[in-house]
Amino acid sequence: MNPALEQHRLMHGLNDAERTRLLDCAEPHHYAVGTPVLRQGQAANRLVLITAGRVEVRLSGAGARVTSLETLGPGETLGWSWYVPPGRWQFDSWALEATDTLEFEAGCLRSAMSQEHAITEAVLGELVHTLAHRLTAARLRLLDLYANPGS
Amino acid sequence: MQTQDCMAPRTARIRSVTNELASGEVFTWTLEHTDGSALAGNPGQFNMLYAFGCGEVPVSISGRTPNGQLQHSIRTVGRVTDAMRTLTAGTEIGVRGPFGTAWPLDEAAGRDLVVVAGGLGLAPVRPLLQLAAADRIHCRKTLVCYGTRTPADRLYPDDLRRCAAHPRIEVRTTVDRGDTGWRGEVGVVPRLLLQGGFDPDHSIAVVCGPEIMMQFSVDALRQVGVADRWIYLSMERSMKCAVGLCGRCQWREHFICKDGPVYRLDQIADLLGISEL
Repeated sequence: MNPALEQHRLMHGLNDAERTRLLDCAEPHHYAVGTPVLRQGQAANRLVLITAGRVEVRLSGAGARVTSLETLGPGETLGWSWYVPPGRWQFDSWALEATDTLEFEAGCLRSAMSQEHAITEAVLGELVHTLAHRLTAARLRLLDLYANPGS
Repeated sequence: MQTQDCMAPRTARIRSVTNELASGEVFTWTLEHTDGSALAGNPGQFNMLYAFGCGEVPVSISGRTPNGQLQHSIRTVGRVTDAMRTLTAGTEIGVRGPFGTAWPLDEAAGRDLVVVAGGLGLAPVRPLLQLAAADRIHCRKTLVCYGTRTPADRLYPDDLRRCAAHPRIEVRTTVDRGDTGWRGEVGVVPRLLLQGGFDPDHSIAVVCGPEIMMQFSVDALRQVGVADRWIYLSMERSMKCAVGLCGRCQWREHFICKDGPVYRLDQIADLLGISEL
């Protein structure tokens, strides 16, 4: 197993059999620079772990300008919408660089989670970590970190 | 310097004025004594700059030119700085200082130097960038983490480029809001610290920016394992006399003009984030 993947939160607390079960759900993908990884509004069908490169999360809408929300890099996961109704991607994601990912198919993940408590804990732990991280980032931006006091 | 001398400004001349942002909101003065000699001062310290007939403001030392002339970057935030913005090269101003504590350059020897800055907070650490790029800080490597609201708000692009080209300096920049041409990081500056790339057990971090940004940067530095004893912050309060007499910059038992502005985190950790102080 890739050493970076072995150390990743997704693998924490899993024995060899559980790791194998989880990795059976995963397929490697490659995205050329400037290509979409996830498209807002489409069916959310996977959890994406970035192993190399950089991905930009964007919010777009009819008539609205595209807003870059965050950039993500190796070791970070993308895509929690597969677990949350209505099961559609809430944001666009584009490869800013040539990007390699490991993508866990949602149906396979659900099945593994229903059978192995440790996998449920690992996957939900990663989702909560990701959501907490995004929430904190959004709150920090509301604080306007770089504003001068009184401005 | 004796106290009675500290209150009397010396005359200095603006040698040049450089706009740092397209908006003109931030500009840099290169200063010299009227006899052409360089002004004194160490990175982290500040001077009181006096626009004659208008008023005096504290401004951090923000660098030196290759021939050693002192530089100050000023943001226009009020009556005095608005007046300063209209002054041109050759104008004489008053200078008191240098005052306050400096960045602990000696302590960086043999360690990874992590420079964390947000917005105009890059100005007081810019001398460190200049020294690192000139191999005049004896650290193992330097990591610069710099965040701004937008790409257009980034200061000193030439210095950042020079640092990025240095084999032992890594520059990470991030913005809150990218524009169409921005292909860099989007996110807040503490996140850059969580990407690692330095040895937390053998690092020294210097942090400068708005206080809220420093609080969250401190959290990130602690999270990756940097001890409070190796984190330094530059605190900012409204300074007036600059010698600890008037109390305008008092921060509980500290007079920031005299005891600061550079503090080691373990000296002030209990005061950070208390909005009433």
